[in-house]
Formats: sequence, C-alpha cells, structure tokens
Amino acid sequence: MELFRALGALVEGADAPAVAAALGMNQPLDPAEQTNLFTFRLYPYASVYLGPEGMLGGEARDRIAGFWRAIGRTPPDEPDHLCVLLALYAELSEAAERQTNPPRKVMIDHARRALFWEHLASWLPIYLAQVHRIGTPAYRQWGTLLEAALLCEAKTLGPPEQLSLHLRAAPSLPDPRQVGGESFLAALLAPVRSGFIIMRDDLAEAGEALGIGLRHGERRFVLKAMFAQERRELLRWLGALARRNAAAHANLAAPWSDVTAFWSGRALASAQLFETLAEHADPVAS
Amino acid sequence: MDELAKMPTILALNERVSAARHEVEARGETFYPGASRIHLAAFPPHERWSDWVELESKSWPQRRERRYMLVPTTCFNCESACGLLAYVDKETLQVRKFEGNPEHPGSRGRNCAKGPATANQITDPDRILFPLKRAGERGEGRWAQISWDEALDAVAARVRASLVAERPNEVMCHIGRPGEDGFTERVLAAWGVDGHNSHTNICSSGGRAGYAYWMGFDRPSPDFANASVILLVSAHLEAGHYFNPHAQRITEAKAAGAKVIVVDVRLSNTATHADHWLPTQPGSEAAMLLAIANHLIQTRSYDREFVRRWWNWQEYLAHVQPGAPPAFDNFERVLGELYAQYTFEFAEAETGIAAATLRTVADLVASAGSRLATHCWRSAAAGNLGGWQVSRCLFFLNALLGAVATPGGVYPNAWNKFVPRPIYSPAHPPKWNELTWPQEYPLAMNELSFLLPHFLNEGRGKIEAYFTRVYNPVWTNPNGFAWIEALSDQSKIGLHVALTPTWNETAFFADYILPMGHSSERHDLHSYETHDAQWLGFRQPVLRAARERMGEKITDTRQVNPGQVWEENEFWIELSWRIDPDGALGIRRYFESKKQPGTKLSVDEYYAYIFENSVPGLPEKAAEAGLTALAYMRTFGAFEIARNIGPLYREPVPPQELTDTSVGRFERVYTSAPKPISSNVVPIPSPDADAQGRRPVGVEVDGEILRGFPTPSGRLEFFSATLDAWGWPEYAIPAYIKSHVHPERLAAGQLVLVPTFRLPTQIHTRSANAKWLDELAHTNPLWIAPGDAQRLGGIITGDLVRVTTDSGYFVVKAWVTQGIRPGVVACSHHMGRWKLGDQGPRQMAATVALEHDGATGDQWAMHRKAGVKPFASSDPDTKRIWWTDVGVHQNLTFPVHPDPISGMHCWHQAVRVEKAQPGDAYGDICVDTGQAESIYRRWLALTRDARTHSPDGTRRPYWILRPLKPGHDAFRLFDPAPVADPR
Repeated sequence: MELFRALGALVEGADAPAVAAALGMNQPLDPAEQTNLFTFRLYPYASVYLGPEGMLGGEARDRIAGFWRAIGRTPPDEPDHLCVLLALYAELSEAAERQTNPPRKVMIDHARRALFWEHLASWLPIYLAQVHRIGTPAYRQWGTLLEAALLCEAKTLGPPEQLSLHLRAAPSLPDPRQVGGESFLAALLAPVRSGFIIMRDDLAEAGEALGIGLRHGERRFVLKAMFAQERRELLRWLGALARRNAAAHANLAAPWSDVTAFWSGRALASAQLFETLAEHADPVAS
Repeated sequence: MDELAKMPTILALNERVSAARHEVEARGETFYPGASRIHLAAFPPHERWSDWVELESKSWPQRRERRYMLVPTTCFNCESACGLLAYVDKETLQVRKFEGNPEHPGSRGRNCAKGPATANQITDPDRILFPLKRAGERGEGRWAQISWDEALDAVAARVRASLVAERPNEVMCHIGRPGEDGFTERVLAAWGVDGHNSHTNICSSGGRAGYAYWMGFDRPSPDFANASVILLVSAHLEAGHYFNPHAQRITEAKAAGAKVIVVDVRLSNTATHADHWLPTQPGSEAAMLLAIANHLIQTRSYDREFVRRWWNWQEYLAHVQPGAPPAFDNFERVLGELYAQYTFEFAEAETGIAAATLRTVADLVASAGSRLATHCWRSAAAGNLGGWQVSRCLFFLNALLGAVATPGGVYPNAWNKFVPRPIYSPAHPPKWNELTWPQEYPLAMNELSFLLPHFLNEGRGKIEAYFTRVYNPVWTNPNGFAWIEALSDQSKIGLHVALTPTWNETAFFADYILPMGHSSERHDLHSYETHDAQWLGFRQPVLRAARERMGEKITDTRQVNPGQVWEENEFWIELSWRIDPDGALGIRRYFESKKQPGTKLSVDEYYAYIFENSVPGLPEKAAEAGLTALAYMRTFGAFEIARNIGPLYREPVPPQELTDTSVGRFERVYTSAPKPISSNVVPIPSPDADAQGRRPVGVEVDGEILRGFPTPSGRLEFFSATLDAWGWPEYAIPAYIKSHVHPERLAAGQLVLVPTFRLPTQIHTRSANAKWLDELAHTNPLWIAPGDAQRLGGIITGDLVRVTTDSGYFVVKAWVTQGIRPGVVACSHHMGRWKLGDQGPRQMAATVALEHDGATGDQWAMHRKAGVKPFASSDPDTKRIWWTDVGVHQNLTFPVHPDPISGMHCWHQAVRVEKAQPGDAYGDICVDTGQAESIYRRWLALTRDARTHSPDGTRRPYWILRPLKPGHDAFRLFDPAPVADPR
C-alpha cells in the first residue's frame, strides 16, 4: 500500500505538494502547522504513546527495534517514527503481494499483521483522534485519510489474536501517596499508563479554566508548577479530562474495540484515582 | 467520518498515489524521500534551496516568515570535511545558521557540534578583521592596522629577496589544519622552495608509519558500516578527527549487530559504547595486538590463501634463510615461531588486562574474518616511543584475516580519496631542506616540525620568511617556550607572517597577522576516506555564492567577507604575482589565467578547470541539472565520483601497460610503458624503478600480473627491506617496542600522563572563539584514579595538584574518577589557552604573566592573572559568560620526544603528581628550557643517521611519501660503495 508511504511522507515535512495533490488533499499544507503539530504537540513516535516512560526511546522503542531485527531488517535510527512504521508497513504489504512462494508469503503476512496490531493500531486510533481535535483542516484531512486506510487494513487483516504486548505490559498510573509526586508526574505524561494524551493545549486550557499561571517549560515542569499552585482543582480537572477521553476512546470505530477498550478502561481508572486524590488533597501543595 | 464518504476508495487512492509517484520521478523530481531517509527528510529538499522559508525563531509566538538561500560549504573545524549548509538570509544577506548538507556523501547531512558552531566563529567579536603589522617589539602586543597592499608588498619583497639570492630554504610555510589537498605544496613548488612544514609529526606520523610499512599507503580507510567486528585503538567514535563520518557508520554497524572493541586508558564516550573496553597500560598496545595475532596464527584462524598470495613472505624467507626453498609451509612454521612468545599471559603482564579477557577478544577478532574494521591514528601511536608499531601490529590482524579492501575491512585511504589534477602542476623543488628533513631522521614520515627551535639553536640554518597558517606551535607543540624564544629572535626567524582567522598564542609573536576566512569564507577542495567511495567536497565563501546567484559579479572574496578577511587561494595567487611581477623568476606562470594569458588566475577559472577536466562524471551530472560543473558544485557542495571501489590490488594490469617488462626476484613486475595519466593525483608511494629504469607496474601472483600495492615488493610487506636496510633490522617485521613510559622505565612514584585525549566539542586551538563550544567544554582537570588519589595524600576532586614532567611542572585541578586506569593520569587537549594582554579570545583564554630569567635564559614561568569573565560586545551572549576557568596549558612543560624512526613526537609523559605546594596557584607553569634541550639531545642520540646508515647514499628512501618531493639528485647525500642489485 503505497498510500501509507505517502501519508508518512507528510509527517516528515509539509513540503511535498505532489504527494498532497496525489492524495487529493484540497487544503494547503503549511510548514508552520506541520512543525506545530508534530514537533510541539503530537510527537509522531510510537514510543511516546506506548512506552511506560512516555518519552522517546525506552522499552517500547527497543521492542519495535526488535521487531525490525526479527524480520531481518536493520532498525533505522528512529525505528518507531510514524513515517518509518508506515513505510515498513507499505513495504511488507507490497512484498506480500509480490511473493509467490506460499510459505514465505505466510511469513510476510504474519509480519505485516504483527506490525499492524502490535505497533500501529495499538496507539494510532487514540493519536489520530487528537489530531482530529487540534489539527488544522489540512492535517485533519491527513488524519482522516490515515484512519480510513488503517480501517481498511484492519478489515483485511481481521481482529488481533490478543492485545498488543505494549498495552498488556504497561503498568497503570501509580498512586502518588505510594510512589511520590515525581514518579506520579512522570507516569501521568505516559499515555499508556494514564490512558490519555496530555498535550500542551490541555495544560493551557486547564490554566485558563482554573485561573492558574502557566509557566514556560516542558510539560512536566508546567504540570509541577500548576500542582504547586492549585492541587485539588487541578486533580478534579484532570479527572474530568480523563473521563472525557475515556468516553471518546469508547466511541472510536468498531474495528478498534479491543484497543479502545484498553485505553478507555485505563483512562477511567485514572479518572477515579484523580477524583480520590482530589478529595484528600490540600488545595495548595506544601 | 463524513469526509471519508467524499473520498475515493482507499484502493483507488493507493493507485493514484503510485501513478503520481511514477510520473513525478520520471521527470527526475523528488516525490517523497522514503522512510529510509527520514533524518535527511527533515532537510529542505534541494529543489527549494534557492528560496527556503522558515519561521523567524526570534519572533515567536508571532509567525513571521524569513526567506533563505541555502548555500553549501565544507566545515573547516576538523579534517573530516563534513558538508554544511549555510542559511543565508535573503533580506540581510547574513548567514543565520549552519546545518548539515544532505548531499554530502561523507557526512550525509550530519554534523557534530563543531559544524553549526561555525556561526559563532564568523560572528566572534574578537576575530581579526584587518591585516595587522606589529608596532612594537615582537610579542609586545602593539599592532597597527595596515592595508593588504602594504602587507603583500612587504612580505613579497622578503620572499623574493631569499629566492633571488638563491636561499630558497629560508622560506618556510608551517601548516596546521590542511586546507585544499596539495594547494600549499604547489605554491611552494612553484616558488622552488622545499619549505613545506606540517604539523604531522605531532599528530599522526606514528600511525602513518605503521600503515606505510605494510602497504605503502600511510593511512587506513576502515569500512566500519559493513564490519562485524570493529577494533579501535583510539577514541574515534567519540572525538577523533573522523568523529562524525566514522561515528555514524560505527553506529550503523552496531545497530546491525557488530561488536566494538575499544582500547583506551580512559572510559571515553567511545569506550562506553564498546562491547569490550580494554584500558591497557599506555605503550603496551602492540604487545596485546601481537598476542591476538599469535592466537590467530597458532589456531590457524588466518586466511592462509590471502597470506600466501599477498604477503612478501618469500622475500622474508630469503632474508632469514638464504638458500632454503621458498615454501609457504616453511614460512608458516617460521611465523608460528616468531610470535609464539606473545602469549596471552605475556600480554597480561604488559597490558594489565586479564589473559582470559584477551583470549575472548582474540576469538572475537578471529570470528570477524574479512569483516574486521580496525583503526589507529593518534592515540597509542602518537604517545609512545615505537608507537608506530601499534598501527603496524593492528594492521597485522587485517593482513592475517585478509580483511584488506573487503566489505567491512580496511582499505588504503588513497583508494577512497580523490584529489583532482589541478590546472598547474609545478615540478617539485630541486633543493633539500635540512631544517625540516634532517639526516638523523631518514625514515620520518613527515617534517620534523616540532624540532625547529632546537635546530635553529644549533645553527643548522635560519629562516628569512616564516608563514604559520592556521597553526599555533607555541601552544600546540611541546616545549612552547622554546618556540617563543625562537620567534622572538629575529636572527633566527627574520619575518613571521601569521595567516589565521583568529588570535592565537603564536600570532602574538608575528610581524604581520593576515586575517583568513573560516569555512564559509574561503575556497578549498577536500576528499577524505569515510567509506569505500571517492567523493569531493567544495568549500566556498557562501556569501560570494549567494550574491552571485542574485546576479552580482564577485571578483575578490574580500568583497563579501567581513572586514578585510580574505581567503588563501586568492592570497597566494596575489602574493606569487608580487614575488615575481614580471615573470622572470618563473613563478608567475603558475598563477596566470589559461584563458587570458598574462592576467591573473581567478578562483572561478581555477575551479572551473578542475571540475570540467579532472572530476570524472561531474560535467555530465552537472549537464543533467542544466548547470556548468562549477555551478553544480556551488549549488550542491559535493560530488560522489565513485563508490564500491573494491580491492584494486587484485586488478589485472592491462596489456597496454605491459611493454618491455621485467620481473624481479620476488615477482615484482616492471614496465617501460608510460604511466597512464590519471585525473586523480592522490599521493601514492613511488617504489624504485629497476636497474634499466622501468617503472614498477604490478606483481606476479600465481602467474597473473596484478596491480598489487605501492611497496617495493608490490605486496603487503610483513618484512620491510627498507627498515632492514636503513639500520633498523630488529624492527623489520611487526614487533613490540617498549615505550619510554614502560613501567620498567618509570622511576619510583612516577605515573604516566596521557595528555592527548580530545573532547568532541573542541578542536585544537581553533574553536576558542565558538561560544557554544566553549560553554560545553572549557577546562581540563587531571583524571586520576581513586586509589592513586588516596595514595598521593588523599587528593579529592577539585584539589590543586602539581604535575612534574622532565622539564617543568604545571598546577591543575584534580578530578578523581574510576574512568581511568590506575597508575595513569590524563589531561585533555584543547584547554589552557592564554593571552598576555587585551588581545586574544576573551571567551576562552586566561590572561597570564610570563616570567623569563634573563640570567640563564632557560627559566620560564607563567602565572595566571585572570580567568575569563563576562564582557560587553557586539554579541549579547558575551555578557552571559558564566565560567572563569579555561584550563591549564600543559604542553609547555613537555620536552620534545622525537621517535627515532617515525619522527613522531611521543606525547606521553612520565610525571610525578603531588598535592600543590604552598604558594602554588592554579595555572602556574614552570619550565627549564635548558633541561628540555638536554632531553632533546637524549632522544636525538637514539637516531640512526642517514650518513652512517643509508644503504645507497641517499637521504631517505625515495619510495616513501613526502609532501614535497625534490628530484632524485636532491636525495643524494654521498656516493655509496658499489653494491649488487638487491633484486
């Protein structure tokens, strides 16, 4: 499916008018929007969403690099970049089509299926929902196309035999009363643990809604500063955000139901934890 | 998804995308780069380099667009010659930033920190912008700004006077960072001057010698990316010259499963990436390598067929067993006996690494087969007496495994390098310069540059005109105070001209300082070995290229450079014209236009000629893009001439080169056919002709005449008849030489100081004006192991310690760390910059006071008056300097240690370390140059002079590389007694 490679190319840069035209995208792609979306808000790396660290690299990236090696490829420097994963998927699809040797075709199909359910479909529905929420019209169109293509593949491949290992192995959000504030903050920004993605936009919205200052810095720093100002209200707000996300996940397309059940359940559990913490929290952190 | 309903089906869309790609690519345009190029995809596509739009970062959160012209050039901060892309603001015509050039085959768009920091160097508020002439005594620090005309006329007059008086050896040009391959050599050749002086003998001569005695070529080109085992006797992944191009390929190999072995006394960044870190006792590396070789030999793990076909084992057997049958089996038996003493237990005793670990590593090396990539360039080869045997013993492993010019093995550098034939090739000078090539060192790989003050003291000669070019011997060379003495004495150095982009310690002692451009302000051509390919990189003044794209005609790079900063090419052309204004000296003709004879050669014509005539494939590639060859290089900055060069030594010699052939005793084949003219003039050794004057053309291997190697035998030389004949028979085969810092030679309480390790974010003294780099690294504490620190009186990190060498001491801070081998201390290069007054780099140079005892003339001291501090300048960041400490200039306290064979300065020092004494202050340095002189004489006594050891009455084996190579007559030292033809 060359389509995946083309969609991946638009993650790398907006300067691909021929690609956009071929995709029938009628909205202009703006480099500034591309940077704003993929560099500052929704990082296009699987490890950010699937790793218990919530950052680039780590266990999730190692696992994906292992997949590359398992199929006999040298992992690229960033094996979990969305563009690379989509291109690999395209390549495997094309290889399967070309392959005439039945046993080899089965192997390639197996690899393709594993890539899809383990490393793509395990996070992209959640991710694309956020693209749809905050992206400009052009990138919403891109997200719609990608989701449509993924759904088409999901239909072709059939449902997964089991939930992705990334999701099965991911620990849930810890209780700060047991692990301390720093560990809690770190886990909060790991989507696979909290069940939802906290973007800069969300933090800005919280600041405005709660009337608390938004310090410049990376998300963890911003969150820490917000907790220092208004802990209880922020926890309540996070609880509401988690619930909204849980509901949104549950409403995603049916072929994702196994995946979205995980994400929705995790977001709901997080919401409950936030609410419990809010009940017992001092308004302002000591 | 309502939007989805409006779209074509996914399958139809997929077909449409495929069709669009085919259509776009059929037009030769980029559709999308594909995921394998993900990093480069982040670069602007070259189709948009003339008009690239980015958001103005300083306008954030407003989104203001800025338009740029992207102009390629080549980094000048180390020798790798990585590609850079200058972002030239179309509104202001200023360079806003530098990023990597994705079109560059060596660096592939990637750079280390030093590349982008070029932006700091060109905007450095302390840089030298105008020609300066000293206004007081040398070193007094008083300068007057003068015009280029005044400077050129004055310098040209002095050079001309020497040439007219037939004293060409009084003109010398001392080169630091190499610019364009061979350019300065050709200028000096045109002047008829054997005055090229390089920094190589304080740098890589040791490494070079080891390779040269094996394969003729003096430099390796490891194919790291395809290796299965990488063995580094160095820290090149982290901080070596080839840091970026090599590191990225080593990283690729690691990702593909290659194992990395690093031999380094420090836990360097490279060592942290290794599968095996071997912190050997400094100087013992060859013992370890020979133990591995012995393991390969004893276990028969080597490539027997390769050894049989490609080693000069027959010559060796004939030498040690004259008359015995030249049977390979016999050689194998001898080989086994020769190295049987190098057991793992022996190596353990020498290196301090457990025998079991060495065995594991040896098995790993054996497992590599022909995919063993090894590298040794400075490091141990540059640190120790006999260090040149380290690279020789390292390549021994490649030669055993047949990992020579194989995928994942080691190539000779000349096969992975392209030096295009220039517009003029003046004959090399007729006279021999004894100041750089003294008779005591007939086998030195390069000029004995660092001994110059000693030679001048001995009255071996004087210099009338001395150019230092991007070189800082006062700071960089050992025994810097001796350089100050020499540069201060006008009876020894009549005129000192410093060609430099920045202030440095040597420029303080110049008569003229002439400002030269940084990497975005000058022209050069570069080609280096980064992988099995040949590429050419173009350095250019980017503002010149940008303004020419906008339609201006630039005829002189000074028109676009800041102040009156110039570039060397135009400078040397102009200076040569002024030396020989009427052409009577025969110099001017090499700097004249070919298109318009009698007028000055322009850089445009110079490069256009090269690109159109000497770079295969470039004119065609340029034509495809609708450009001239010069315009192509100005647009893309690099061109790959060939890839997958392969094992050239195995190529059959074509019949047209086999005319009137003769075959020597060991199957060396000679021919009367003229040598085909090649457009690649990369220096290659030139083995001697046969008695009838036929040139060596190949070697007969199993009945086939193959190209072979440029060695006297035509094969890889396990046995060097050259070393044997020139007085070093004990080292005629790979051997272990005990270092001058071998434990047996250390007095009680002495430690070994390793002073050579480099930091990845600095480059010698060139980067002191790069604020980003200075902020990252600005000091050089003494690495010391916890046990040593405890034993020496409980030294803790931050304590001041006094480090005493054989000729002085320096006071530095301690850094107690487990990252260094016990018994060894280390202090990094680059740091300890100083200035005497206001002039100099204020971000990275301490202000010091010098004391010189006039009574004896030998006692020197330096005391730090002030560290660095914030200051107001055109760059607001200089007010934000938060560091004060810039390290200690340790090299001043090192006497010279010239290796008697390679000529390499052996950097390691036997030192005593103690807590600082009362009255000692940070940065204090004391040196007795008289003591340093006596140490020089001790090392000089180790040499075997050409006068007594030359086998043929020449000064030096003619076949070995020499940057400038006078004719055969100049090589003649005395008439030898008649001898039989050794062949």
